[in-house]
Amino acid sequence: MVRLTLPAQLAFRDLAVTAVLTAVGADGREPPPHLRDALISAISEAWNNIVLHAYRGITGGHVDVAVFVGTDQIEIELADRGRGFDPSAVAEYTPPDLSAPENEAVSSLREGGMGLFIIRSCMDDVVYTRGAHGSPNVLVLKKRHVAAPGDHNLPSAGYTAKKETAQSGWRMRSVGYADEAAPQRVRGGVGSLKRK
Amino acid sequence: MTNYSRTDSGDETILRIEGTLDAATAPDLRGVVDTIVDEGRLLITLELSSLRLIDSSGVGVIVSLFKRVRANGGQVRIVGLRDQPRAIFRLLRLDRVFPT
Repeated sequence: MVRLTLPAQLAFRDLAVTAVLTAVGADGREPPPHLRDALISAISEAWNNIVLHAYRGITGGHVDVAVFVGTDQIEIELADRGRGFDPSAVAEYTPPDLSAPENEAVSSLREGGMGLFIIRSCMDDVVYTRGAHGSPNVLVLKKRHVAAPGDHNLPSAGYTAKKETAQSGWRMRSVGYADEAAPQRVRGGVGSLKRK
Repeated sequence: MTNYSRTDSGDETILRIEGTLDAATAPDLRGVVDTIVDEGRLLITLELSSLRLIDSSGVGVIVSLFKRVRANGGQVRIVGLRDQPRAIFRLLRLDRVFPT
């Protein structure tokens, strides 16, 4: 297990990412490209959310990072003491509707609000627990550690959603689906939110 | 850290983005985008072969450029997308929207 506490600043995001990748590769095996890309993408978005939203207008905040690397799963915990948020109040990212006329598809493109979608799509399980009574906000990201050498693709977005309820907090559970580009593999997709 | 280089060749503007395009650096690119749009450039090529990492903030600026140039009757093309940036574009299904 690796633990570290970093200032809640964008400048320390790469250090958080490096800590996770170092922990994952501590056994001497480089994480495969698809896993590396997924971890970088998800942690970057999570870090941005904490710095830019949880700690907006608050100076001197910190983020506690913990990384647990098991034989078949990586678990990353990011804890902050900034403002918590309600994931269900965040508008779901809508990918471009490729069946719509071209101009409509272009005008519907989103310029923001993609962060949670990226996190959910890159991870196998995401649980957010809003802090209360002095406890921190905690985001737990879980990724199954399945080697796929040479694969450079994050999971493409799946648009069937499955609701699951976490024991506490919010669970953003990805679901398996067949990727069009690689039908032989089942990959994680986007999940939905349900509050217990 | 992000480096930008802009080359105008006739009607075409080639914008090369290198390094990391994220929440910290995207605001700088937004200024470059504003200038390109204000000048009425209509044929834009984004050269991204040296882009190492992109996050949703960076994607947002590129989408903004795409929409604004398209609204003016122009086109934005992306070349050289690879590794994590390519994976993000695929994930968001933007690879099917942007001419490459």
